[in-house]
Amino acid sequence: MAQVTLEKLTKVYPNGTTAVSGLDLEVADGEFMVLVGPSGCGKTTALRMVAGLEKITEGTLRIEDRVVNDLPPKDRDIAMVFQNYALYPHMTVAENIGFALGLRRMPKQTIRERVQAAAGVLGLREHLERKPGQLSGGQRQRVAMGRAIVREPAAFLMDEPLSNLDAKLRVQMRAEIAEVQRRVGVATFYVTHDQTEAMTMGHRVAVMRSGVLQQCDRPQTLYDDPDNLFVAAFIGSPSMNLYEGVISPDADAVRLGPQALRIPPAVRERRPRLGAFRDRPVIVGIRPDHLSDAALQEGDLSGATLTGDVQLVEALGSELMVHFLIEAPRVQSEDAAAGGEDVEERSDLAASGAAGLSSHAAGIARVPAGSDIRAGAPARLAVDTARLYFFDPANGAAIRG
Amino acid sequence: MSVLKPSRPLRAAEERVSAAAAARRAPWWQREGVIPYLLIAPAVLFELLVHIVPMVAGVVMSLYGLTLFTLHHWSTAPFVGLANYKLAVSIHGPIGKALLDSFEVTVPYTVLVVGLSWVIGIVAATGLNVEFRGRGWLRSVLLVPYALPVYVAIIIWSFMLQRDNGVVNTVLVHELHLIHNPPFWLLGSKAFWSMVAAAVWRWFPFAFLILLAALQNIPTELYEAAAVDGASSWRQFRAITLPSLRPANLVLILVLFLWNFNDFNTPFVLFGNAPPSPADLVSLHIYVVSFDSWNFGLGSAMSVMLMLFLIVVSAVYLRVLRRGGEFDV
Amino acid sequence: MYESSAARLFRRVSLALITLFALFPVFIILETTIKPLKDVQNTFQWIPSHVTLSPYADIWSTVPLLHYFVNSVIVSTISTLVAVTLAVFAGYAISRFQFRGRRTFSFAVLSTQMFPGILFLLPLYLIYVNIGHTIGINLYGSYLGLIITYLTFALPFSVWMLAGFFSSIPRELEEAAMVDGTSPWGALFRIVLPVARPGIIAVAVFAFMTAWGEVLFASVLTTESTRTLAIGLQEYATQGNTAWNQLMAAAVVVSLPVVVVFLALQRHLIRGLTSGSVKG
Repeated sequence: MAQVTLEKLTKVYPNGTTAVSGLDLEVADGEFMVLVGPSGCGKTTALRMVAGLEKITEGTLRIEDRVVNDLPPKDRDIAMVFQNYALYPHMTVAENIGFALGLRRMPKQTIRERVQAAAGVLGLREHLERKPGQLSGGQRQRVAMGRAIVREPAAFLMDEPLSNLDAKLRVQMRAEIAEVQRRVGVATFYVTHDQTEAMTMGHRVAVMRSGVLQQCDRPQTLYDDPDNLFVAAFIGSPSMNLYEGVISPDADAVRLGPQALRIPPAVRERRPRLGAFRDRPVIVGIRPDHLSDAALQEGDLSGATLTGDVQLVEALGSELMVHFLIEAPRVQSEDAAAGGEDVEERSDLAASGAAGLSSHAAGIARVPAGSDIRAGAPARLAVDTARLYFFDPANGAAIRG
Repeated sequence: MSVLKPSRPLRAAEERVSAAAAARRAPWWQREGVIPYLLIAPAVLFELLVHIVPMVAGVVMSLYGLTLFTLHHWSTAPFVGLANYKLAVSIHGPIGKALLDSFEVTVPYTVLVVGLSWVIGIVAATGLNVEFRGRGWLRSVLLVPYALPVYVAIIIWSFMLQRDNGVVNTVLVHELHLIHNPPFWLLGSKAFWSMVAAAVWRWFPFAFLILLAALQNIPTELYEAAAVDGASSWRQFRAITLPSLRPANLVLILVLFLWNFNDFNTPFVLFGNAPPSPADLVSLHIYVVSFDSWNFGLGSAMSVMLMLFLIVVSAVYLRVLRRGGEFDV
Repeated sequence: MYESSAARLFRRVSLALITLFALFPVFIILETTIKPLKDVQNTFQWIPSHVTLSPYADIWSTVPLLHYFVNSVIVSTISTLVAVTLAVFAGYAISRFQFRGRRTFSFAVLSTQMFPGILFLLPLYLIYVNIGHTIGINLYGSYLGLIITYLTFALPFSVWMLAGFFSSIPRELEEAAMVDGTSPWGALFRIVLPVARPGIIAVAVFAFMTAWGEVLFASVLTTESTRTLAIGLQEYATQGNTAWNQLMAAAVVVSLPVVVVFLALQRHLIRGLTSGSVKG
């Protein structure tokens, strides 16, 4: 029995825009479900429907097996952490955390105990008598969490709680939230636009786009086996390199411009439908981590290398990010751009380097720091062809069986 | 921490109950579409009773020959159509001329009072936007003229401007010897300037208050960037302060204009029922026409004309200056 | 702010002059109240011939000042309370709900400022008298009529300012409250109103001052028993020879409540204005 069930949940606004369309999701007790996607994909709307802050147009919402479509937020047994924390500015931290309990007429002693317990879990004991205005961003975030966990609800709802924190704090809070959730063991519905948060925190991740659920799976599955182009480009940082290629007549290689990559038999077995694409264009995906410096590789690399012009090398200490151009058609989908800013940068790089037509596509490779690759010179990159991705250009779906 | 979950049969019963609850619609006064109207209803009601209906009645009255006699038996008041209006606009007749003269006094009065109040207000506001010791006290002090009830503020000036025992004449004639004969400040053309002075004294703190609040919204980084770029204080004022104040100024000036053009209190407290014609503001003028000559129909017609004038001016003002789009009424 | 020395000089001098301008008449009025009668009937003297507090004592008998004072307090306080309440509801509606007529309402509110008082003075008087004759609710010459009138005068500006103020309070606060367990009304009363307190105070002060200082309608709608200070104060002047010292003393007494309240709350006022409608 799932803790929270969304059945064909739909939201259509009075002016006709559809924010969420037919969303099916189940969150089990204790599970951390992340809803991720670019802005405007409907994830926040979906969350607000679960909270009761948006009316459900169609579909059924169940919390602990009760149909709650028409119940107001306070009767749904949920607690929510807002993006801007929404702490009551005129109350102390202790009053903020205990507010909901007071509304339920709990005995003062119980309230005090629960507030103390929550404050202890979150390291807020010394701040209980202060007002939100006197706290830092991270502390406010914790108060917002405290307000939620003290309720012991059937489900937690979190609306991008980390987006207002600076980068370092975000990394720290990510771990803390995940840890707290594990300790408390409450089903959690977490919305974010940041795929890193999704991957690191979620037991399962639901990727959304334009109101439609694209794929809901464990993070590793989303990474290894995305259902479509959008998910492939969205998950993983830096995002997947995407090129337009043509499958050879024998379906044993794929041509990327003047270059070609061999398709290993294992891949052909996993994706039998590739056979239907002989001599036809496909979209090829290569993750930056699956590219390496050919000069540092040993063994037979025939049919598994790409040569490109290196535009820029970013040194990160442990590795190098190599921005390169190859002579292959760029994938012109706006969905790919939704996957992250680095993809847009790549389009810009290609545009600046090439002569108008999308005949050059930019890509990023992640190579270990020992490599000799330099900007301004061509580089030979080894491709892990066993990990190539293929997508149907007509609809972006992954080509499988 | 655990959540105490009810057993299965209890849960099924719960679901039935909550389904039933969902089926029962909320009473009409709680339904979402109705609530906002309920919330504004009392305010709308009072507005209708006190502002709208009397105003409409006033317009209707302007079409009738309403005098003291017919006032108590209005059904007998003769319908005169636009006769009252014709009387009011015929600038060759005595009534029309007097009204026009009154307008010609009110316009410069309003411009002067609004302009001077704004200038003093902005100087004071920029002056107090800087930290210094006693800033809070000074702010309180500068607000006193506005805090006083209007009639008190004007009465003080009335006292100061008395010919024989007022301080103004004492200073000018007996101490500074600038003038030989102590003038009557509340008669003749000097009355106009007395009125302006009293009004500016009374209104500049309001402008000061609004502008100070608006100034505090301007981020200091703007000024710091300008200072680094080499802008002088005056330059900073022109390039940063004034443009940032635009939304506040838009409203402030309009409101000051309307309040001062309509000003009844100042001339009434200074001059009573008989203002000298160089200081005959239009509001008092209409009041005198209505209550002294008992011609309410005529008075109403004049009021309607006044209102139309103000509406037109405001509309033009808003249209011309609203280009910014940041102003949401 | 980095100012040049010229700017600093300008600021200091101008502030000094403005302060002088603001305070001088106040000084005059205060000084006049402690002078004996003959001082104010002759040429103005800077120093009183002898200091006396008798004006403060005499004012209560020369004119029924206390009675007028009580009237003003009653009328102003009640109209303020009602006006603020109504403005809170209306302002909240405007800021939180998208309903048809919302823009019209805001605009209508601002346009009431263009109405000349005299236009609806007489009709209002007639309406009040008529309601008294027909329904029997006495609005002319009663507290009720004046209260209704004054609260309506304060409404437009109050609604407008509170709407702006409420709009600056994030909706998330109410949503958090509703998730925590309040009803929508509960969210308004327990969360929004406390946070909006500066704006509400600003509006209350404004409404009170409007009522306390209103002259035109008080002159027509009051009778001897309900006369407010605005009209009552003039009675010192019609006693043949104006007893200026008493008039000034009465003026001081009359002003004290509003000035004290206003100055005490001006900090809140500025906060209310800053976060509220001044930004447009």
